[in-house]
Amino acid sequence: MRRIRALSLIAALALIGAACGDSKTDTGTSSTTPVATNAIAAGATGPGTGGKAVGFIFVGPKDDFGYNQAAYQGSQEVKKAFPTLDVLTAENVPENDSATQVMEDMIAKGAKIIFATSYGHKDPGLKVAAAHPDVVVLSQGNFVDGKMPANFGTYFGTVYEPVYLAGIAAGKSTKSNKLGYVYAFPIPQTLANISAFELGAKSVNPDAKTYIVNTSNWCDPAKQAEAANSLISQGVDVLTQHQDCTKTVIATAEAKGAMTVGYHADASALAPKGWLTGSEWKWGPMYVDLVKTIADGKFTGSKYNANYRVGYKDGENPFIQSKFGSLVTADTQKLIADAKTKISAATGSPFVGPLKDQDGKELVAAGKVPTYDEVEKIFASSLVDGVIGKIPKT
Amino acid sequence: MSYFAAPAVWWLLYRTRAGLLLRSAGEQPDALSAYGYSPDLVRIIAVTVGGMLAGIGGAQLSTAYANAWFENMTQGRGFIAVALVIFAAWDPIKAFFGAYLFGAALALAPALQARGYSLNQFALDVLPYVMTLIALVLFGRKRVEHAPEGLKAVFELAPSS
Repeated sequence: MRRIRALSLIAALALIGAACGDSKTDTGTSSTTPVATNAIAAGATGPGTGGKAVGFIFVGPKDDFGYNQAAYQGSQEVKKAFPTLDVLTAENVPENDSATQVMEDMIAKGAKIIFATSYGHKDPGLKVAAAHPDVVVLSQGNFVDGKMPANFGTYFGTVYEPVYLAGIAAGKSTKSNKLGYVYAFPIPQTLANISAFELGAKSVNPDAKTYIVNTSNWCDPAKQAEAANSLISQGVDVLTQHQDCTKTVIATAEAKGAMTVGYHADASALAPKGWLTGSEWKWGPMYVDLVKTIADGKFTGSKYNANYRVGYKDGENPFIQSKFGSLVTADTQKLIADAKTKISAATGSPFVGPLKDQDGKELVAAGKVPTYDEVEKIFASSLVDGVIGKIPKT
Repeated sequence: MSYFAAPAVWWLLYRTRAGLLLRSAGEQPDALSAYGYSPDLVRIIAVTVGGMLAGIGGAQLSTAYANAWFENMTQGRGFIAVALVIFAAWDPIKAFFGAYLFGAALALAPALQARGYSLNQFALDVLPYVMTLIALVLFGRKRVEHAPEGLKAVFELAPSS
């Protein structure tokens, strides 16, 4: 197996070499913010303390121009901030029992803190947390219903906030009033994103509709290309996505003359003509604060020992807006800045009622402002009116 | 490309001397060696060229179609190619139509979704693989008889020896 990996790596390098020019479009390695070195309190006790290492597992490759690349960069910030801790990373960890095995290996190597960075790593993570009360396991992006174990937590940014703002850019830029969304799975996080994107677009362009196609995979480039081509052939002229690896959809849109709203990473270099804006992760500060809190023995009962969601309203959203492309006018940028102020206010949200779902049923009552906790429940299996295409039936 | 490639392969196999040698390496290696050629050498050349073609297929997927390379990006689609060979009974012209049929099955799910149809999408996702299975079950036994004689000999001899 390892031999095959090595061989395919060589083949990959050969391909990259042959394609030259391509390698400089490495979007994810953008500048990393320096983080001050943190000392860990001596003699701390409790889950997650006294470890020699911190473990990170990723569902995909660390250079996927997207989700995993951003998480990997965050792990490297942890490495910089805590020189005394080993940072263990594992790529391509499937969302099943092999994830449990990888986490067990990391614990055997001295890790007391584990970041399970993919949505589907939650259940294996819960298993590991139950087996090791002295280890803290954190699930990125998922949600624990009911009682939270003392050594477990979920964390995420409120991804739909910058997605809503990007929707404004899309709504203003589209000529066909058809926006395309390539997504992986109909999980609440994604359904909220698609809804926010449509609402952002609709707020400036009442005729804008969002067409959705799913790929049933976080990173299946061939399927992404099929999805993007299908949408573009339907007249869609702005494409965005919720995929782990983002390069294919963006390159396909650029090649066919469609505009792009990015996700997970700044990929403007991949779409010099069609790039509008997007959203990207800046995990460093949050990862560092998590590690510090846990290693100091302050995790249990803290805000992180919960379903922690942070957004514009109460501080630094780790999901930030990407830079604007040349197609976004100054007027549109001002609209977006104003909208940001509005949704950051206590009485603001992309999802202020009244909101209706695709069948005309009420999702949010008139005047109601859903809290961060409520959003994932509202969009458990619904999309807002204006999104074209159904959630896959099971 | 495919409009020309399949007839070209057919022409190469059935209308040229190289094609005749290649086919006899599969069908009747004895005749080939009686003719003064080494069946092993011809087979090695054929497998090497086949590997090159598969490599070109992979390069097309990563550099032209998907514009990206990731580990395991073929996601098991290669097995469909194996089914295709059986489905097409080792005939390039049938393979041409089979490839379009399987390709259509793969493209159906996103195409329908982009048009806003609500179908059981998980069923659509498995469609190409179900077709593969059906092809193997329905045509498998019958069409294996179309496999080159020499290839079959290997399999038929193996258990008894």
